[in-house]
Amino acid sequence: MNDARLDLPQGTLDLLILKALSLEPMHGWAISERIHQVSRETLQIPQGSLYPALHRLERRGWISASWGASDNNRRAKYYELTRAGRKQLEAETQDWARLTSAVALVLRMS
Amino acid sequence: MLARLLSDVRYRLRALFSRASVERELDTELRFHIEREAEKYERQGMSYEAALRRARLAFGGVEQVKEASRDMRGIARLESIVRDLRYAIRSLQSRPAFTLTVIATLALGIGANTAIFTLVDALVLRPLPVSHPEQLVIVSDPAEVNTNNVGLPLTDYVSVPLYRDVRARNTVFTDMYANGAAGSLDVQTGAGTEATAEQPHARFVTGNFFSVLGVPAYAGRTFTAAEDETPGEDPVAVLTYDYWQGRFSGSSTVIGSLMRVNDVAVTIIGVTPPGFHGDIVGQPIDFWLPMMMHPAIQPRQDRIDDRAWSWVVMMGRLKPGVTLATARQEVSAIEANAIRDNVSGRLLSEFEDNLKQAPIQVVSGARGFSERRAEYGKALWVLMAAVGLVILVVCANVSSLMLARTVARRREMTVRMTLGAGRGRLVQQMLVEGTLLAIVSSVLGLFAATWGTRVLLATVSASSPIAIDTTPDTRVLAFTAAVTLACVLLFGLLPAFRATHVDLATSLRAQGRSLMGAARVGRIPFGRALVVAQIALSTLLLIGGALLVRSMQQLLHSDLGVDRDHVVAVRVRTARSPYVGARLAQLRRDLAERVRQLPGVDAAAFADHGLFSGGASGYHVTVPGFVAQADSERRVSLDRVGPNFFHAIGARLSRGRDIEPRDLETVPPATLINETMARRYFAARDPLGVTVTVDSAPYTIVGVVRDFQSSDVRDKPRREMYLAFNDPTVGDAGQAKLAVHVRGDPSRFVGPIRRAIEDVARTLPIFVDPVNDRVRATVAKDVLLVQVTMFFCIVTLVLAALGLYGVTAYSTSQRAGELGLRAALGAEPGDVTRMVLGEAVRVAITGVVIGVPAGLAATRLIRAQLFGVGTIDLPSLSIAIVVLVATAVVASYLPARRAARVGPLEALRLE
Repeated sequence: MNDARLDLPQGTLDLLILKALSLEPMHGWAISERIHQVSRETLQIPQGSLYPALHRLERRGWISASWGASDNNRRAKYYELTRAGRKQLEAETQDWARLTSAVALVLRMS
Repeated sequence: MLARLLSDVRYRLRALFSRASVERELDTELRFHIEREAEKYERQGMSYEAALRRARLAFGGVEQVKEASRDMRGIARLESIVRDLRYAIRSLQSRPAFTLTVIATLALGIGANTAIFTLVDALVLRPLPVSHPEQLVIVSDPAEVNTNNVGLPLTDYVSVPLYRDVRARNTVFTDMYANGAAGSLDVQTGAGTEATAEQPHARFVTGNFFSVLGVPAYAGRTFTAAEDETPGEDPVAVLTYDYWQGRFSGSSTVIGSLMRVNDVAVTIIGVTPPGFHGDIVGQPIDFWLPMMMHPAIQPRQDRIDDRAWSWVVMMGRLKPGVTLATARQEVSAIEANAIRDNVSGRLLSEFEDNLKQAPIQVVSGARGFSERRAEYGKALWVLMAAVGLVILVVCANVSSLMLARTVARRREMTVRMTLGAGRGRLVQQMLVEGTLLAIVSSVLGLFAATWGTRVLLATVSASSPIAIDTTPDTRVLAFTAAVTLACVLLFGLLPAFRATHVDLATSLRAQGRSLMGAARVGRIPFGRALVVAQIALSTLLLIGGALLVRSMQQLLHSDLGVDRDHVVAVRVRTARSPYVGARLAQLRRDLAERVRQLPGVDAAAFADHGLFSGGASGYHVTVPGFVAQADSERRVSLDRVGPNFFHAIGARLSRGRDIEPRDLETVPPATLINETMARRYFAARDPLGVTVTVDSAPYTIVGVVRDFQSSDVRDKPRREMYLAFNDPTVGDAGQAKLAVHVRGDPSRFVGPIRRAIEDVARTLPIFVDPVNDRVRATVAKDVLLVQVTMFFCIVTLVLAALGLYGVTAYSTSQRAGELGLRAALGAEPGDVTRMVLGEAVRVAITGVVIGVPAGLAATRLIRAQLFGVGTIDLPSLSIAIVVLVATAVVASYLPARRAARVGPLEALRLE
């Protein structure tokens, strides 16, 4: 296990959740697992903030929730990206790209 | 954006109203997460229990996550308000006496305010229910809707030919109409034996009346322009919805049927929509007739083509883009020129003089015409101010009640704050309670107001019919809501902050030792300050009320210069009878002669206008030796009177003699003048024997009479002349009037006089009234204002008394320990009573001391309403003060007595 975990910068949690959900509808645990795996175990979503964040995104209408059966046949709450959420994801992805490249530029300064 | 807002609202609503299932879902969701996490650890080789523990540890505090998720739902605040609401309902239910008192007091205050505002709204603020009322412009005096005059062309109300000229020449209106009083109408509907006679309210309007106002027909149709072109040719009528419903039960067969108006068959062609009560606010209206029907329906007078008959008011609708200012400028010039084209000589110069003094009125017509608005508008604002003060007192009272309660709950507050409850939370809780009380009260108040306005209107309408639409509109509802909100802020917020302003340490300590410590808490200086404020407000209102009462007494009993308690006024209608010209003059003499023979009658005299019987004429007089600077200086009021008139009315002659029978024959005829006229035209000279000229006819002055009021108690004495009534061709042709002086109670003579007159003229309508009743009728509006104000004064006084009682009772109960200690140390019950009473009276006196100057300042505002009393009136001032102090003593006597009965043992047991 990689213990060199990074704290998520402010505001990136929403972006990560939206990105994870853009592939397929998932339940909360799967979201956190997916992000953990894809980031090669660098990013660990703090469990305490995952669910409040999901509720916030749902309230904003970016994701919608429905109850379904999980792979081991238990009731689980699945989240899905809405059309507004997809737009939001695009916007936030662009913002993020601009931010990181700008930060990179500044860091490359000599 | 909108979709997001909708989803947000949907989400929050679900969170709020399906709270339980949302909570359950959250629980399931979190459990599912932990189980999956545990399964993961299990796959890595842990035992089930260890895996579960590890998963739980990794997850952190489930409750914290739940709380954070709940916060994300954005309804935390709302939820806490709902909780407070439930709490408030429970806590109010548990104290029904308190709750009912508060709600009743508030409902009374809010109801009174809404009631008066409803009247203000209906009479003063509300626009006409027509299309685009803001485009309407009145080219007349909006109050002169029932006046007529023959003579010089006028502009406050105009002649029909002048209306035609202005309409034809106008450049600023798309169209304009004219509207005139119909005079008295006898209407018969139905046929044969089922025919019923009545005297409804109708107006003559030009054919474009409905099209200019933009009022469609509800049933049938309205007038066409062609129906108002040929005099007497189009006997049609349009009914109001209310008349149609009330008189014809809304039957559709009525349209096209006939009714007889002054014996002319008129076809009912249509009905106006419900809610439309004509263009004259406050005046009842049943139907409209075309202007051109006037000659057929009122055949005595030609008011259609005579430029001397001014009797209609005009309203126009502005062309798009024309402002009121432009319209005023243009239409005044057009009207003035139209008059100039048709008068000349003395009339023209007189017209120019009048125009300089009073320019032609061109005002917004959005709110319609109204005689009542001018009459009651100011009085209503005075009432509005009075009830505004009442609501302040109500708030102060409720505030102190709430405060007394919160002080009692101080321990609870202290404990909760010690346990970490935020002050904001506690304030919110109390505000929720206050809002709940206010909303319940305002709903009740609204009902009370609807009822109250009806009663008020019924009272006024007893003397003169007044019809206004009092269904609460959005403005009234908004007003009530605003008042309610103000109440919440006033009585809810203040105690809330006050109660939560707790010094934790002292407060906790004080709770334990109420024998001495509570004495400080119990005195609630803030509650006392509120009572002082209430008493100050009551003082203010009482001073105003007492002034109005004194003014009313002056109005009702002032010396009019005549023997008002022993004069009976008689009026006989002779219109449409064979009594005209010389026969009418003979009738007047016969009536006076016949009535004079009645036992108990001192004198009976005929007159053209007489005392308080309506009517007055203005004339110009030429006095030798007096040079008038302006035409207006020559104007006098004039009445024509028969022999012994001044004896009959009990007026006092200061010089000369009364009119005598021989004066009816002498040339030049005799005249009396009043003292005001004598002073103005003769100064130190002797007027007796001087011959003056009225309308180029000479009259010789034979006497001077002391000034007396003949039509309005409030009038300042004018210059008046009383000509010997010897010419049968002048004066009011429609009636004969008598003044009768009697010995004893005039009401006993009403019957005998009526019978005596029936002996002479059996078929004519007869009206017999003691003059004092007529005088009272002229001040009915003032009496009403006083009655309503007095009602509010009493309400305020009762409220102040309740407040004082509450505060005294509360403070003595808090001080039971101290009082018991005093008793133990040897204080007599009398001493304790005196002490408590003394404190209450001190509070009352403080209030009075603050209230008196405020009251004196405020009474300046009602100066216009006062008659015969100055704004600083010692008797009313002392009455107000005595009443207040007496109220204070009464209100605090009970608690003081109770305090005196507290024995030392009882007080100790309370600890």
